[in-house]
Amino acid sequence: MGRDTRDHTATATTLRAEDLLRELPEGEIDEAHQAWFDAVAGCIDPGFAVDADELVDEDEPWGP
Amino acid sequence: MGAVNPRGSPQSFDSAFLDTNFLVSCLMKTDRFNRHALAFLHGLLPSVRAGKKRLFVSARVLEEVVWTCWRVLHDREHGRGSFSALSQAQRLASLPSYRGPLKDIVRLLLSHGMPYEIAELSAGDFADGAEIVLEHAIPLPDAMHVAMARRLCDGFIVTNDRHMRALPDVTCITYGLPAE
Repeated sequence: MGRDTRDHTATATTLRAEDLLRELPEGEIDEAHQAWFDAVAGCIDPGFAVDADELVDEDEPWGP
Repeated sequence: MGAVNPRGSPQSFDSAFLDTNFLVSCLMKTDRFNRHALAFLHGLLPSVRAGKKRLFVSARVLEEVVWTCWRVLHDREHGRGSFSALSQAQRLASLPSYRGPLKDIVRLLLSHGMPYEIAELSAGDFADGAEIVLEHAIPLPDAMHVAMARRLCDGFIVTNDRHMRALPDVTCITYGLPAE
């Protein structure tokens, strides 16, 4: 095996979606994509405030 | 492992892996980042149509989304935190009550208009993911998502997951979080 030359102390680069959005080109949206988006957007109302990151992390999916 | 991301240039972002929490934020009306996640997803759609950007998920991501929806539907009916208190046997016993809505969600996630491609986990992803777990002590599913993002998207991953922001060779695209 070759020598591992990666920097294991490095951390991720972070970009903000809000900054990227300003650079994304406008243009036509595929009708099927738009219909999918409209169906997905907020389609579940939990009835209480949620934080997806906490929900997903709370315990191991499907596990005992 | 695929090419490592070139660190930081937004112009270089031509594909991204969508983490579970991003899709859950899109689905959940009362999620604290719902509006931010939807704005970004919608903003990407013209580029996806034009073939200038590609979005990826894995079956594991979709599985986690459905599982999270199940627990939210349960908590909506029985009280916040009630799903967590159940044993695995009790959870499975509750499943028939949510079969209809969960089937709808599965169909939606796999429907014709989905803007993402569903990529398969490779043996190399598993090896990379296992190394990430051992080096950085993050949950295995997160490590697998990162490994796939490295291989397929030069490390770009759309996520607010704090675990991933501590990893090398990754560019986390966050939504609704303040600048660091």
